[in-house]
Amino acid sequence: MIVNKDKAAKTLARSHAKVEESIVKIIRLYTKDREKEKDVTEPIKLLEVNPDTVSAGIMPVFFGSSADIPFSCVVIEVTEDEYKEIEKNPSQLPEDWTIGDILLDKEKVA
Amino acid sequence: MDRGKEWQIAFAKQALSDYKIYEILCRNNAESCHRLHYLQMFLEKTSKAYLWQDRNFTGGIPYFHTSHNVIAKVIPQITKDVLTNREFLNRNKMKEIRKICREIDLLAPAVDDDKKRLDNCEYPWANSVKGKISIPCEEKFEMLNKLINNSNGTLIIKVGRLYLQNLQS
Repeated sequence: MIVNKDKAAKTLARSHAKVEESIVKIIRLYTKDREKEKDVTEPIKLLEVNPDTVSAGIMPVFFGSSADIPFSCVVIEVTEDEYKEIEKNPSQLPEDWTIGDILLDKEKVA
Repeated sequence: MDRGKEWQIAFAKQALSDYKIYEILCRNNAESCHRLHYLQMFLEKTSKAYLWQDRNFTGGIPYFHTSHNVIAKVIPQITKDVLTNREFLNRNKMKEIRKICREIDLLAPAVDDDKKRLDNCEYPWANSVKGKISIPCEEKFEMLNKLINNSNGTLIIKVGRLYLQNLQS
C-alpha cells in the first residue's frame, strides 16, 4: 500500500498511462489551499489529456480508494482542445482546483 | 409529455441522483461495496433510461424495469451512440468495456451466473473458495476496482453521465 500521497499520484498516473496508451499528458491538480491538499481525505486529482476521449467539457469522475492506493481520486479526462482551453483559463476547473505538476508528458519523452 | 418519455426522464433523474451519492461515498472513502453498489445502480438506471428511448408506452410495465442484468447489454451501446469519434472504439476497447459492465452487473445479488458468482455488494454470501461467509463491507472487490479505476472505467462513467445530461437538456 502506498501511503505517501505524492507517490500514490505518480503510481496512479503511470498505471493509467499503461492501460490507456492514447493518454498524452497527465497533470496533477491541487486545491488552492495547499494545506488542504495534504489532508488524506482530499482526493488525488488527475487531469488526463486523451485525444480519444469524448469531448464533454470538464467532467470529474470519482473513484474510491483501493488496496494499493488508500486515497480516493478524481479523474478529469479531456481532449487536447479542451486542455488548451483549461490552460488559457484555469478558473474553469471545478471547486478550488488549480493546475499542478505534470506527471506524464509523452511529447517531452519523445 | 408522452408516458414513455416520462419514464425515461424518471430513470435518468434517479440515475443522476445515484451518481451523486456514489461521488459522496468515494470522497468519504466509504467501503468498496457501498461505492460499487451506487455505481451499479447508477449504470443500471442509465441503461433503463436508454431502454425507454423511443419506446411507446402501451400500458404495461416492460420486463427490464425489474431486471438487474442490463448494464453489459446496454452501456456498450450507449458508448457507441454517445461517442461521435468512434475510431478508437476498436474491438479490444469494446471487449474491455463489456467485461467491466458484466462485472458490475454481477454485483447485484440477483445476478449470479447460475450460482457461480455469489459475490455481490449487498448481502453476505457463502464463499466456497475461502470456506467462510463473506461480508460485502469486509471485501475489497480488488479485481473490479482495478478494472474500473482506469481509462475504460472513466469512459463508462463519463458516457453514462453525458447521456443523462443530454437527455435532460
